[in-house]
Amino acid sequence: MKKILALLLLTALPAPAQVIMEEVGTLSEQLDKAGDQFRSYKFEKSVQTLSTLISTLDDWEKNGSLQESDEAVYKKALEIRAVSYFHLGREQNAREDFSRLVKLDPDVSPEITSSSKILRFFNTVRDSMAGSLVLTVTPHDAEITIDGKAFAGSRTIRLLEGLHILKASAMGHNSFTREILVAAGKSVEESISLKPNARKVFFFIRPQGAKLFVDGRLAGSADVAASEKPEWSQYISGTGNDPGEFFAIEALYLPPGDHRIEISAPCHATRKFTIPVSLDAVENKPGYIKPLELQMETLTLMVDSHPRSAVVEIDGTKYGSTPVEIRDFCSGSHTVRVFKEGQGEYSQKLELRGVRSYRLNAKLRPTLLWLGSSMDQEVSREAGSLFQESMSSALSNIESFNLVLSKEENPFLSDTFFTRGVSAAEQESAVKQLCSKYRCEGLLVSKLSSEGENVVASLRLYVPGISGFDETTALLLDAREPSFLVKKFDPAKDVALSGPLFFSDGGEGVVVLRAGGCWNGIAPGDRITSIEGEAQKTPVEAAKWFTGSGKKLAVVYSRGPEVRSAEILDAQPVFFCDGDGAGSRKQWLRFNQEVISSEEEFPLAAAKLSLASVEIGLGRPLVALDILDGLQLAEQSACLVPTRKYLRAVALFHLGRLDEAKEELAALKALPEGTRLGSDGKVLLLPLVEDLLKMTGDGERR
Amino acid sequence: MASLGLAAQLTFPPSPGEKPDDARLLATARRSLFGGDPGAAYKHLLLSESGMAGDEEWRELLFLTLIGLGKPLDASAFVLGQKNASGRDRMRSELLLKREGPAREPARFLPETQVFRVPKEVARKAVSMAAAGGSVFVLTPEAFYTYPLDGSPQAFRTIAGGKEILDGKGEPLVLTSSSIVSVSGTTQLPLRINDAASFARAPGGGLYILDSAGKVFLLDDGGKIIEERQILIRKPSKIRTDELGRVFILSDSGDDISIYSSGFDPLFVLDPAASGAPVGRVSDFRPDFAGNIIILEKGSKELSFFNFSKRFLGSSSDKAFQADLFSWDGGGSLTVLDRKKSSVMKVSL
Repeated sequence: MKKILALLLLTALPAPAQVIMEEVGTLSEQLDKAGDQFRSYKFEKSVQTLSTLISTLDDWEKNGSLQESDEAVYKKALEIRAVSYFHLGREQNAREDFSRLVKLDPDVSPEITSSSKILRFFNTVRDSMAGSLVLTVTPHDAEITIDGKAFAGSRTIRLLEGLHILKASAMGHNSFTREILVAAGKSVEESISLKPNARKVFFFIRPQGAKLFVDGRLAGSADVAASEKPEWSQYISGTGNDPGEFFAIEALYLPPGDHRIEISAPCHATRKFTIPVSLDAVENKPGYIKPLELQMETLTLMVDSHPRSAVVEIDGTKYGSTPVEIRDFCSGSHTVRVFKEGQGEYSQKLELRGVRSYRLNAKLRPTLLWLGSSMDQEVSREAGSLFQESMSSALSNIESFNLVLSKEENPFLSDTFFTRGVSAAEQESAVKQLCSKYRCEGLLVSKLSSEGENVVASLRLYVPGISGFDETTALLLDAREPSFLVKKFDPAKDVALSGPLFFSDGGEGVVVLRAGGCWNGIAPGDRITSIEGEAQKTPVEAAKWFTGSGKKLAVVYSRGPEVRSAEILDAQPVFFCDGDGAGSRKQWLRFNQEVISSEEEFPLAAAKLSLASVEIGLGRPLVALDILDGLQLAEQSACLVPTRKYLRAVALFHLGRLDEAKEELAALKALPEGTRLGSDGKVLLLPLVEDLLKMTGDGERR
Repeated sequence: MASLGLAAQLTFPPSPGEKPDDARLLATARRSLFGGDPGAAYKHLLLSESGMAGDEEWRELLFLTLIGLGKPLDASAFVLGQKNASGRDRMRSELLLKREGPAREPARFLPETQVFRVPKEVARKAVSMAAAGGSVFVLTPEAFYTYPLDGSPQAFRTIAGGKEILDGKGEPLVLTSSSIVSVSGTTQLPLRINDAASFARAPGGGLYILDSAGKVFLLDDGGKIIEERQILIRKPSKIRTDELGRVFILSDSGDDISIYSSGFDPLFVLDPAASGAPVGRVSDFRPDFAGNIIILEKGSKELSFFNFSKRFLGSSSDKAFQADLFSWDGGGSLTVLDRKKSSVMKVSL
């Protein structure tokens, strides 16, 4: 850095007082000037010029502001002035300057003069103050520091007399520290051999760009041709390969023991193996691993979607519409996005390796924007950022939704959804705007609140066009583990009542304990002996047939002594909303998506009934009624007729159309006692019908 | 939070704003079930399912509600479908399958070989018995006897005019014509109760008292009358309840049992003789948690078992024991007293 040397002259002038700054030139200019004077034998002038300069540098040294670049000037100035003093016969002054020079750098030698007399004089001064350290270090490229100052390799180093701290370190070796006592005018020898603790290993790989992972961590990529270094070339040639075709990766120094190695490259099969690393006690030379060539690996990727005709985009490249089959598709890690305008999308990162073909059946799903987390002042920032980070990761694993992360820069945006002063209308508008920007169907935002010593986490879901929000709250026990909150939020909930159930009484087949809602008259107590021609022996075996596949199953069963057969539907369950607040919006997103994307009759009917139930739960009975009235129930879905009637009755009840509700309920009351609501046998219909009838003022007490 | 008035208009699925919190729904479900309206209880339980499905009381109420709706197999399925059902729940579920399921198991009434003797005088005068906590309790018109089955010394307490023992939850209670006696003290019955004849636990901690005039009183914990109703049954002699709070009253005149909902709506009458079972005159009966009934026949001193659907499940007619009195834990264990042999024995169902 170029510094300006300035003199401040204060003059005692009457008011106003004046400060005059005289620029006398830069340090180097002063040094050059003194050098010129010295070379012109104007030693007196040279001393004069340097005195001001040295005085300034003395001050800087004393107050610690002397920079490294200044030090060189300082040393040179002292050297020129000492030699000038010597020529002027002022040996004491020369001794003082040489002493200061040696103190600054004991390793220095005067360069401005070749006079043997002066050099002897300097050596006398130096030997009275400093000794020598004759240092030998292995390995040669070890880093050496003495009192924190770096020195290169093995050499003789002059040091001021006294105690010094010597440190030596090198990659792959244990570091070394020792105190060295140096006596003035004496020489001390030190030989250091650092002990290896790891070994450098080179991999030579084809193709270029392959990534090397050591013990699960990325160690580098094969970018440098093996032909670039003679020792690599020699080694590769020695193995009968062309050094120009292989690329080197220098692995980190590996400690002794076994190491897991994984080498991967796009379109190539991953190689995984273990290498044992041992130390070379003598020289610890680098280890070379035999050249490795990754085999080309492609697969046939088949992408289908529900619904079909969705666009397939992989790593940003479009591959047509579903169903699509892509041959010779490169193995590796790919981001697959399948989307259909207005009908949702599916996005997932896939690791496609070690398989010849892969079939992806993408169920298009709604996309949620994760806006981030707001927090109370009492909650620590560390907990907040840990929570935010782990929530992003946990939310991206929800099966029912795609997740898109907010890139909004306003850190207070998430507060909009928790601050009391912000009106519902403002929140709704913000949701609409953000969802339009991010092409999302819902917005997720969370808050960490302090409640005494506890931190409570809340997760809210807003859906454009639906007022209010779903809220899930839980006590935050560990900011890194928000999965409990996400689990609570996930639409797939653990229901106490679900699906058909069987038991075994030791007799033939299994006895139905709870029948499905679309089981064509099969009731609890009936004994199922075979399903699809297969004899049923245990309840677990029988239960495996029922997954909500929508398939028809041929069943043989007995009721008392009579053997019967029937075709039953393994129906997808109908969801019944049990209230607004906890989860109506997420269920709305889920079933709205299913209605949009269902192509087959039965799942569509079940989804519409579920959606109608959610619409009632959201306080929109008229919308529910529209859905129910528009629902065509063909033969396959005839079992859902009572459900549609019941939901119609509830919607009509909420609309105050009691007579119409009663009409529906009267028809339902005539149904057999065991009739179920929905399709999975979960809910008994008639108690609900009787209860609703009572509320319409037309029921009978039991 | 919605008011109770709004809750009364609750539908399943509900409309927003009308749904009270889950705790209130649960309380309403409890009131509905024990007030004789299992349909309303069912709806309230469905409405609180997502928030309360892990709650023990919710599960218990749903189990009882399904029984109350006449769906014992659904009740059983509900328990068996749970991952963490308790041992007690599983046992009750299996009992339901045995007693109400398609392959109803015949009642076996197998006497155990070990017989426990009681003094002849006590056996001769005994009017009621109970068994609980490893002890047998025998009541005579003069005293209340405790016989620990592990052989430790018997104890007795003088109680004049004892009529019936009520066992089960906590300490046994003894009914006299004008009081209820327990270890902790004696509670005088209100004067309105004229010669108490029988008593049973009511849901919510109170007691039903049946008097000789055919009136049923509901008493709270402190012995205060909460409800009073006249039962139109000739010579009602014994009153019992099940865990749903349903009320069973024996008529000495008709030798039949009238069954009422927990809200005292008449449900049906069980006439054992009409079912083809070998039962003439009924001296006593006991229901289990789900209203399945064991009846003691006066003449033959045999026990007969009927499920809540009035099906006869078997009797002790072919067994080598006679019962003058009996008690039942509601599961698979009975205790019977044979006056003639002055003995008490355990019987497995």
